[in-house]
Amino acid sequence: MKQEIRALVDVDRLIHEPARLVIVTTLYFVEAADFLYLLRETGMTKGNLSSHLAKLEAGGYVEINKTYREKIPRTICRLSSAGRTAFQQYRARLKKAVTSMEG
Amino acid sequence: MDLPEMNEIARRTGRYSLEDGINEMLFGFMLVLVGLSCFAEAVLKHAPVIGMDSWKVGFLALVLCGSFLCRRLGRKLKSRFVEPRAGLIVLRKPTRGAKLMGLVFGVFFLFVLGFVLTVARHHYPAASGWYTLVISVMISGFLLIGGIQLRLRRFGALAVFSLALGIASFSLRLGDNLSGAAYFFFFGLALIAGGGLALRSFLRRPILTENEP
Repeated sequence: MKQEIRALVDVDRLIHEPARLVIVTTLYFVEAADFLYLLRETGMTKGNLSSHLAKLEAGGYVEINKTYREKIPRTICRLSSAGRTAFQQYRARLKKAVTSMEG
Repeated sequence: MDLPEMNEIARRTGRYSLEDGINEMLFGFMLVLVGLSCFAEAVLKHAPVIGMDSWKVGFLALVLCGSFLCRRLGRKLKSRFVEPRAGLIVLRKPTRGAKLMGLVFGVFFLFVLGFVLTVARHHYPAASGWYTLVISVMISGFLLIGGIQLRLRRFGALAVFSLALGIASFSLRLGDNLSGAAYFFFFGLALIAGGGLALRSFLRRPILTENEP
């Protein structure tokens, strides 16, 4: 097995899971997003999104801040610097593996 | 994840602030006021009571105060209508390099614009309405690029309308002030109409609530 392809085995599994990958990618392009935006963009259920966000928060990739807007709860999520770096590394590794397979 | 999918996610975040049509309507309202102001200048140009300096100050005040008020109103409207339906995102602040690039591009663009207008005036001194034509072409270009990048079809329609309006006001030879007034007024109305339609369809979306994430 080529070294680049073997590197795929070591991809960050916390990010690699499709639902979490969509969350992290969405957060990567913005400074912060609230729970409703992520809910709409990812198409997940509230419980599912909540559980994936909790996992990302536990891994130190996402920072979650709970506030209120006119007495309505609002959860603001942002990618931490560790999460941003991890996502960039994940992308680079995946790209490298795909390029080596194509070439 | 494939790169095209990532591009789509980036595109959706870029579209967030435009898909409800509120900013478009407010900008259109500003353009209508600018159009009316240009019309007033054209009509009152020969009135001895109103000097050109006071008109220029008034125009500047209109643009500055209007922009400030539109921004505040836009934020309020977004908070009231958009956030419960589409959620909230805070866009990333541009880096220092990006700001510098923007500044360089802006200065270069203004230089090219000034050059084009000067050459046009020099070669065709009798023709009036050049400014409006050039502005309409520029606005059409921006709308078209934005529309293609963000895949907003109504921006394409607005680009065509802007260009048609610019050509029409130039062809009618109304003079710089009147052709500008007509262009800004009617294009402002088109923006209000386009934004209104977008807002109407946006408001059909269900209101989301966040119980306990």
